[in-house]
Amino acid sequence: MRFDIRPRIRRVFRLALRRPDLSEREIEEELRAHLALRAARLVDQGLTPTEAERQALRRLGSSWEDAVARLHEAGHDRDDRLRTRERADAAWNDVRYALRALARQPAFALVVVFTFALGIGANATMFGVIDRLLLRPPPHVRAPAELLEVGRTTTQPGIQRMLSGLQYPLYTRLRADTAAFREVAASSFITALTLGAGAGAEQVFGVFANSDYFRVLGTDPALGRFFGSQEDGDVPSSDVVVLSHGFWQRRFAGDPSILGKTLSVGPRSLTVVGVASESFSGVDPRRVDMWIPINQAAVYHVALDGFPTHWGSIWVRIHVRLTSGLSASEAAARATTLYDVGFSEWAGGGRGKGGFDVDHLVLRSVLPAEQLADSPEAGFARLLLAVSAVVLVIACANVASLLLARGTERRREIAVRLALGVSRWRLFRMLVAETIALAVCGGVIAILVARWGIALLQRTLLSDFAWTESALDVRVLAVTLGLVLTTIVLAGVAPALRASRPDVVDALKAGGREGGVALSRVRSALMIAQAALSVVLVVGAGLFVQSLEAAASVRLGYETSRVLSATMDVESYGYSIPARVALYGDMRDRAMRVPGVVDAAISSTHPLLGWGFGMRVSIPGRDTVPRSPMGGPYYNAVGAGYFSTLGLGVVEGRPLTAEDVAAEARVAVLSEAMARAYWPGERAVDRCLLLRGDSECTTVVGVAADAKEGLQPTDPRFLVYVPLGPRWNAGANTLLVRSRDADAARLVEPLRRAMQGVAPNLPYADVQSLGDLLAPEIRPWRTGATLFSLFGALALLIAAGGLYSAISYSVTQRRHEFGVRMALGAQIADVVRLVMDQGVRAALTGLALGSLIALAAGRFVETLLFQTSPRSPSAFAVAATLIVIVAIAATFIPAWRASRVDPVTALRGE
Amino acid sequence: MPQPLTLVKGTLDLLILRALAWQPMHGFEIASWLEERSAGALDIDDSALYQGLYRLEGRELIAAEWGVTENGRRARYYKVTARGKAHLKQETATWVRYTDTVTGILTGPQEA
Repeated sequence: MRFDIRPRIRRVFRLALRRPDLSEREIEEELRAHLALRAARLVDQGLTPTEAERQALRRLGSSWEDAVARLHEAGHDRDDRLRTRERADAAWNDVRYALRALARQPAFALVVVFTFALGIGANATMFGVIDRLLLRPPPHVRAPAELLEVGRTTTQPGIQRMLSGLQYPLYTRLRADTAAFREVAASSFITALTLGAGAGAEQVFGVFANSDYFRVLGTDPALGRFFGSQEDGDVPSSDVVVLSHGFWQRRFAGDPSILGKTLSVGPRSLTVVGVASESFSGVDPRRVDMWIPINQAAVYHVALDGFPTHWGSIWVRIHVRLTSGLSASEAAARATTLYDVGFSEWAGGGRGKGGFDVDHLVLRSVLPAEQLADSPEAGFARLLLAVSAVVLVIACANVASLLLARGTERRREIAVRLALGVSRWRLFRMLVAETIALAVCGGVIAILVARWGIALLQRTLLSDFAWTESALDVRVLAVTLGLVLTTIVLAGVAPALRASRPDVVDALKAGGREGGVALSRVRSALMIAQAALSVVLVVGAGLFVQSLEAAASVRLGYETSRVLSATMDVESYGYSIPARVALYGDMRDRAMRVPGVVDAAISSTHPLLGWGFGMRVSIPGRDTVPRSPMGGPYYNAVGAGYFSTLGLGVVEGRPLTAEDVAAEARVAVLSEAMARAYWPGERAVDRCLLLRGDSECTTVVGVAADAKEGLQPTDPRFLVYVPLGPRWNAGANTLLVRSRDADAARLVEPLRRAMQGVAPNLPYADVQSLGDLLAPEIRPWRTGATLFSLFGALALLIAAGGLYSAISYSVTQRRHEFGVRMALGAQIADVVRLVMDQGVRAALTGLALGSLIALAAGRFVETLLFQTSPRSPSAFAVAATLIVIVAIAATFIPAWRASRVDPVTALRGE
Repeated sequence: MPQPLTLVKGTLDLLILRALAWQPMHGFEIASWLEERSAGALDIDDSALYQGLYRLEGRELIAAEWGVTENGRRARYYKVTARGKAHLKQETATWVRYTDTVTGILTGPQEA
């Protein structure tokens, strides 16, 4: 039966004020009534009935059908307009209703909005970064999908990756094969260069490129020109430079009159002839400040002299576009043949000579998705994207759970509305409108979160990338919108469907109390899912923290925190080896006078950069000497104070002294691994070694602890430390300085100033603490540990909130039951245990499930960890402990409240 | 008797609203009311009247429901909504200003 409800009542209860469409029958009925009345009037005025009818009809229009048709049309218009207006009104009503309902429970609204904001914000951040890093083609490159880079695979065991350095003559050969390679470009890797000299010297990053480079990539200059064929000659005479847009803006504030000015770069003065387009950085996203003609490469020691015909040096990157119709693999086969022919002609024999172990050449797209696909940054970004997705799922599960509880709470209200005739569809819309309002608010805050998050990641994880514009752009906003819609569907639809479908009679009868239902099965499942996903993230955090600890505690054999290294590329400035030794000697003297410096020493190799010089070593009376898998033995010519400056322990004998250096004594200190291998179980001191085929003995005076060059585990090198002097043709390349304080970074600027002042017009002195040099190596784990811990804590917090609200809700619903229990003599402890049991059980089930997921997902993070197994028991133990503690904390308060229920009030509250 | 005047565009809606401001009426009553008031000087096509009614209904300036006439016939009765009343008031003022201005110009002293 349908009974009419008066509009006023409808309005009060916000029921639909639906105006029915006009039916055809109604239109005709109205017209007939009109005709009859008109005719009656005309009869009254004295016409005959037939004449009256005829006249009445004429006044309506040309014919009856015509009049009806015209009115139908008008009626349709009316219906359409009313319907649109009604929908808009209804939607507005839904929103107003939702906002009012939320305003009544601001705490609930706030919790949900922030849950959404963090979940969506984390994902928008990760998308913004991944988009920049992996999804977009390099800017200002024409047809980037067709541009290929020539690379090589190596026969060396254990190296699977494609390597991109090649020889310059290969470029010449490829360019000659026009049948296959339509366009060929050569460029160097990004190289650190010195801009300016002396105190004003600074470090910039440049690429050496030929004139084809810009044309093949297909970019246009923003100002001036790129290189022409006059800059392609083999003679290094082209003193010109093209600046990147970012560098031009940063260094010269976008000065439009920059063209024609000269810059002192390294040993030369270069004239600025052009500025590249904004955000053009070649095919890599990494920062480039300038491009220099490739024929200058030898001047800057990027390539060897005579590089145009030299097959002995691997340093060129080659980019090609193929002749249409040729596949990449066919072209790669041709390139391999050209390589083999060229190399064997030069080497006078089979390929592989020269130690490059090139197996064959390959062609690879320059699209970042493929370029960076196997880089650690990309792997990392993908992992973080997955992690942030998990956080969002937890957030959605939590909000869904809260909404379900709210739906149950409002069963009576909803039932009343249904009884008053509100359609279920309308009710569903009103409930979803709430989620929409919450998610939209969350989305707006999420954009702020993403802005901050992206900026943070740009500064930390991705600081060496060329970010010229904000990564928060239309695409990120679009994704945020998509995420908002997703969360609405994930978190809002199911609860709204459930809530809009209660059994009216039951809900009204039950007096607003859920009879005996502890926790709905859906809510329990959501709680378990949240706990499980939190466990996964906490285990991940544990693994990364362990990696970080492992990485930070790697013993290199010397101190990294108190030691600084300073290097200066004076070789390109024409300093001979003795001049370099003298220059570094002066720098050492100056450095010793800088306050806070306790020791300093010069050496020919850098402890972390591992420039090793190999040599032959023999022992009188022995045919062979033991060999190390690391090759060598290597030598390092060091000045006095080297061991004390580095904090490298001398385990036997004595270090090299100033007297040894001054006298060029034939003495040496061996690395421990070498000494033990040569004289197992015996003392190495005072033994005789023949170095570099000498006939004269070099006496071992000490044994030093093994020094590692990086965090990755390698076999220790066989290393011979000798006094730095003319006999060792190594020169001085590094100044090492020991700081009194643990904070060595404070000395960077004073040291740089001291060094630049030693001689006029010196290039940039690269001063860094060894700790800072190692930081990029540790950074993945530091970032991983930080972000994982952050996400893990976020997930735990959200899950704990969910558990807490679920349990307190169930306690409120069961007040009556607890009242009865207390009245019947239940103890406080009984009730507490009863309530906590639910939550803790859900947490334990989640723990088991989450552990299984974490075990299964372990292989995805395995490569990103440092000396940590993805099945590390301690990470799982920490996660288990944490989740149980959180579960107990989250359930205890509601449980305690349940036990304080006053039986009298609870039972009377019927 | 002079030729009946054709309606200036848009005035029919205003006239209908004015008619209904008096009291709720059905279509024929509105037609009669307008004929009486204009003493037959306005030529209002009956079908145009009903189209006007539907149009006003669509704009929610009037509302309709089925009722019974004095003679016991079923008829759709129209009444002005609150929105319709406001619209009438505003449009009437505009109309008066408009006609005053136009009249003033048309009947003002002619320049020599």
